[in-house]
Amino acid sequence: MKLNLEHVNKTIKKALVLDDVTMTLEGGHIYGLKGPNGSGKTMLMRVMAGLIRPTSGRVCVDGRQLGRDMDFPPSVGLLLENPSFLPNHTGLKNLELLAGIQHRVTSVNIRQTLQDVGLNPDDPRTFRKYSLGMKQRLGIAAAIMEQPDLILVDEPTNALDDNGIQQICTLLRRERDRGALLILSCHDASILEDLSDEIFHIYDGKVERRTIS
Amino acid sequence: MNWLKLLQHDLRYGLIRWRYLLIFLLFVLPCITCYSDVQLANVPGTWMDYMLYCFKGSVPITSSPEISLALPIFWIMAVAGSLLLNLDYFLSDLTQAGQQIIIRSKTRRGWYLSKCAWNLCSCIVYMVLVCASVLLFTLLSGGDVSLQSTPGVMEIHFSELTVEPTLLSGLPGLIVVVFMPLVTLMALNMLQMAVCLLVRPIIGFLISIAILVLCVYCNVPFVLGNGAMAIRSALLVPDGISPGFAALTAVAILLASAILGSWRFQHTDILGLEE
Amino acid sequence: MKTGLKAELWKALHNPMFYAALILGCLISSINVVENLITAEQIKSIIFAEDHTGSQSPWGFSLFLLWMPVNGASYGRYLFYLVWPVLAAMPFGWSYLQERRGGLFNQLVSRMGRKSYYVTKYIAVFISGGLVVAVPVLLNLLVNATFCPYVLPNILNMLRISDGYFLSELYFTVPWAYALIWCGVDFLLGGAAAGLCFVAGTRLRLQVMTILTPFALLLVVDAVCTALRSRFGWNVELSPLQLATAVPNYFNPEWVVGSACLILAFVGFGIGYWQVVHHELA
Repeated sequence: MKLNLEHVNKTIKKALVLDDVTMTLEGGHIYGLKGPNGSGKTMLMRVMAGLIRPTSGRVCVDGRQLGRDMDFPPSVGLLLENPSFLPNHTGLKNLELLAGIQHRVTSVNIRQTLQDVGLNPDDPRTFRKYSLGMKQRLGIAAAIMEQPDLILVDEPTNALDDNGIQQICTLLRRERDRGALLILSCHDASILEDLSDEIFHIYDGKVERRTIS
Repeated sequence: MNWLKLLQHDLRYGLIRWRYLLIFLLFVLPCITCYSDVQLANVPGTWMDYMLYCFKGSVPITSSPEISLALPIFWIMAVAGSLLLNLDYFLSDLTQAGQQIIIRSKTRRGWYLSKCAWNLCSCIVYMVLVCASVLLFTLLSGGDVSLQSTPGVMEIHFSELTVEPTLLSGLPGLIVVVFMPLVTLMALNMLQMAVCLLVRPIIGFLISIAILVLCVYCNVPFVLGNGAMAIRSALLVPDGISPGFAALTAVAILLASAILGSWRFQHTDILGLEE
Repeated sequence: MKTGLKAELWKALHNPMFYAALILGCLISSINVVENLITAEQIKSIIFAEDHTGSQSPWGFSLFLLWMPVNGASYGRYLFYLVWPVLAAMPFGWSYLQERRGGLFNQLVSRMGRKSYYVTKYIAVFISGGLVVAVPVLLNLLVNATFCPYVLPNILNMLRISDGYFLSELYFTVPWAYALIWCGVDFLLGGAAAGLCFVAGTRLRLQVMTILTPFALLLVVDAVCTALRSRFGWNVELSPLQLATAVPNYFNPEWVVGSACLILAFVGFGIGYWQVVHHELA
């Protein structure tokens, strides 16, 4: 998996939210996005996921351009902002529902993923009754359960306890070792530096510099 | 295959919803009003009488400023009910849990077409429930489950007409009270869905309502909604609107909305909750 | 409480949705102005054609016959008086849901208490909702006044208002006062309808559905009133949706209009109070 962004600009209501972003990202790596609030990290992830079309520039996945050759990356897992699921279903049911669209994983895999993120697959509680941390764990499970080639996770450690953070870090490393391309944003600098192979520093929608961990 | 899965998801989670049962409560109201007329006519009343009353509509408002005419509230309520139900699911799926589904759908067009198909099915379910609720009321009020309209009741219901309305029965009756409202609902909902991609959803809804009020004024088949008013149908009054022409107009608007919406969705930024 | 109210009012009257609702309301009411302009042109041509020299205005051409709330044949009037609950809820009716979802609710409640929070919020919702309904009606009167003559209406050319209608005597004697009072009535009804957004509480997840709640409720109430009227043969208009216009199809005596405003406000405030102040899970 190779993701190329070439001179990507995005303007929303006359405000430039992404300014000439160019980067090349390869599978088997974790890339971190670092920057202050409102710097454009989430917007950049949305562009990479195909949810937002760049105003100018190109986003290519393995040489195929998003928006022209395809609408979304062929294999992508996503956790953006607050995870949102059907409120009246259990975590397992929600994941089965999502998995049912592509049929890439079995129920056994889903149950295993839930256990990996620290959730009980047989928990009878509905998503509505989940705590903030549980919702976050379920969001991560949704992002990784189908073993996608591209994983975009925005603030994955939000609302998680220390144990949860360790679990998620281990999982994300495991995905990297599998060969997936991970893009991660996190306000906790130590976690970001610990996990990332490379970090992009973003200010006002512009990639100012990159550092290699 | 993927698209069928998407559609299956939309049908399952977009149609099996408790709020559809509100239709039963909603349509009891026009039925109660109709029941008074039925009693006045001193006849049992039929399913067709009640359905005709629900989708009666109104004669065009062309009076002078000094005379005020009432809007056909039951008719507007019947149409607006479907618009509200469909708007809720479409937007929820666009902005909330649906984002996970959109990226798994592979294509934006596929996702939108699945929503179009769901929209059509939702209108069918709405209409089936309307028919069922009216049927239930007919049975409970001691009426006849018949497709034949009653002369006495028709006389009271359509008293504002200057000509005597044709008695409806069988297929023509079903065209007036089921098929035409259904096609109109489908077209209006599809239009609303497409407009919501262009402007704020609330404006999209207001545009739909503006069309409904406009058709109360303009007695032409091009204005969506006219075909769904029984009182203006050529099957009921000699100079009425041809159902075939009105249906064709509705289908044309439906298709145009689906194409426009699908094209627009290709370029829509999918942001978070109602951003 | 005073500071909280100031802040809420500022939020309510300085947000894009308030301006959008106000502009939308004025646009809809301007349809009525355009219709009246066409009427005025037609009447002018009749005057010239017939060499009209009388001091009286031609039949039916008066500001107080063509003004939106009393004009029975205007598309603008029908549209405005159907969607006014949506307009009323647009400026700020959604704010409670948004603050609950965004977490601002907890911040504010911990500082000012649930009761104060709710009362200030309700007042802000009420005033913003009332303004977006009343201002287009008032502007419509003023704009129409620029080309429609100020002619006292009489019972020969205003058939819809008679004994039993809201301040009918005042309408035929001091129509300006009547018009201003009617703007006040629309303000109260708009405010009370906007308060119905609290009925939805946090049960609805979408902002747009919260905004549409008063419209849906008033539409159903209208249908209930119609059903009851036909069942019992009442000739009094009870539906708040219809009462916003000065000439509903049935009598709208002062006590009915006043009661409708009060009941609507009481229901919105009461259910909202129960949900926000008493019900933890609201």
